[in-house]
Amino acid sequence: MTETLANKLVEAMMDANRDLAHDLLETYAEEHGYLQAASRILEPALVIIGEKWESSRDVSLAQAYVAAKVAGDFMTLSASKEPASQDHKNRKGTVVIGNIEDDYHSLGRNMVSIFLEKDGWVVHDLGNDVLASEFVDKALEHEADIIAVSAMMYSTAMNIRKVREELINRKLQDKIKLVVGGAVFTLRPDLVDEVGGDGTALNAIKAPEIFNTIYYGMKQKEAL
Amino acid sequence: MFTPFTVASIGEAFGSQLVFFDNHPPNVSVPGCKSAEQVTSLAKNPVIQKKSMHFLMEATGYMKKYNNNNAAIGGVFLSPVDLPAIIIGMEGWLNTLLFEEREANLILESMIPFFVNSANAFLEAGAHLLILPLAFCNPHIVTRSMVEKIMIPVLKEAFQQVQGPIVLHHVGLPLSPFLEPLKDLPNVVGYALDSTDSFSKARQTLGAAPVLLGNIDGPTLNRQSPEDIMARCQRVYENRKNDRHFILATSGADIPLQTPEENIHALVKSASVYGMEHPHETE
Repeated sequence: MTETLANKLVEAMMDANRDLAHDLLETYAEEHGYLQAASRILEPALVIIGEKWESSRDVSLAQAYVAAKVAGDFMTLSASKEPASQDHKNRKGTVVIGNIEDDYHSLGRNMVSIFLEKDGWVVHDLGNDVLASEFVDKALEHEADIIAVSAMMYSTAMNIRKVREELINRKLQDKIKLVVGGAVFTLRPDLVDEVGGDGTALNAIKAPEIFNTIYYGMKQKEAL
Repeated sequence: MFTPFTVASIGEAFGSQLVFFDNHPPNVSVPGCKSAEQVTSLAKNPVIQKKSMHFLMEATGYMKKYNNNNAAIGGVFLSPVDLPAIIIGMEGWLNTLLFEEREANLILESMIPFFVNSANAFLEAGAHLLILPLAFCNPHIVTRSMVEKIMIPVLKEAFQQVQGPIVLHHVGLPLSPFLEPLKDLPNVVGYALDSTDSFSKARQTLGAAPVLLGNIDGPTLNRQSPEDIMARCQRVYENRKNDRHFILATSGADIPLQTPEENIHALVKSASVYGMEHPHETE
């Protein structure tokens, strides 16, 4: 039953039918609880869309945006109806996220923030045109594990190197990791190394994967 | 020759805040309009129309003056389905299209005359054709259903009022899957394709008439050797040797500023080396 519902949710999101998606999730949540709705319906549906987006690239930005909105709607709803369902947020790390200096293309960043929050991350969004020093200052202030930096174009992506330099200068490279993203990295994955990134995601829905991999890798290293 | 691809001035005329850079065109930092009513009201205002086009008209005029008709001038602009992204922001426009049907229709209706006036002003100022990057008709941005139901009727109504030829550009993402709904639009004479689009498939879909442009990858041109570029051009010419309506071009939004001159010369040289191997019959 849950598999069928998850598939129906995928269809609703692919048809950009936000209301139907909302109804499917709320109906299930009213009966089984919001945590169950998140783990059994929403999460599998997002995994399906994320895989489709990554493998065949036949998911458009509009469909992914609808998926982000549905996830955002559901988080808001579950927070108001069942506050306890939000407790799992403490289980993951903290991230500060923003668009790098001179970059104003916020759409991707906003979508990544939603999917990270849904996955249990505490997200501090710094907005557009964020200087390297501000990224690191805010990461220290919020005790962040990861700095996530977005850029759309090659010219602005190059400014991300300043964040890496800032981390090195303050001897923080082992304590705070740098995840980079944006259209230019999808087109040119080699840029991740060039700007000093520790990783990237191919799309917003799949973003939590790389954050989790890096985060648990850090925790494992700390435990040794 | 292409007029500057800088459309932020349109957003500025609608009240957007701009930021300026040393090494690329200005960007909209804060969109000027928050509501459909605000957009439609400003779009009707001739002062806004004139202000938004001032820089582009001046640039086109200079190009005409100094060009002496030696080359065709392509006026680079945005279609009526893409203009709102500059005015209310990319996310704002996507959100409106997806979830606010009435507002989306209001905005699109107001963009048709705004676009037509701007496009024809370009042509009057000296542009020989219009080049329109079509983001909101690209399969990576929107769904086919959105293109067919929302975008195509708007583009048909707008394009039929344009007093010159139009080339549609792929905006740096493959366009092939949506060429079918985009064919037969009034005054569209060509399609600039992505480096991963197939000329053969595009020709099958579009027929023999439209010009196809492409498909040397522009954004990676700086990372190839002149020999690689020549070889790639040779393959493209070989692929298109019987195609009378083909123009070799770089695909993607741009080529990096740091591209070595030798690479650009290789691209140009390829036309004389390989483009002449199979001279077309003249009519």
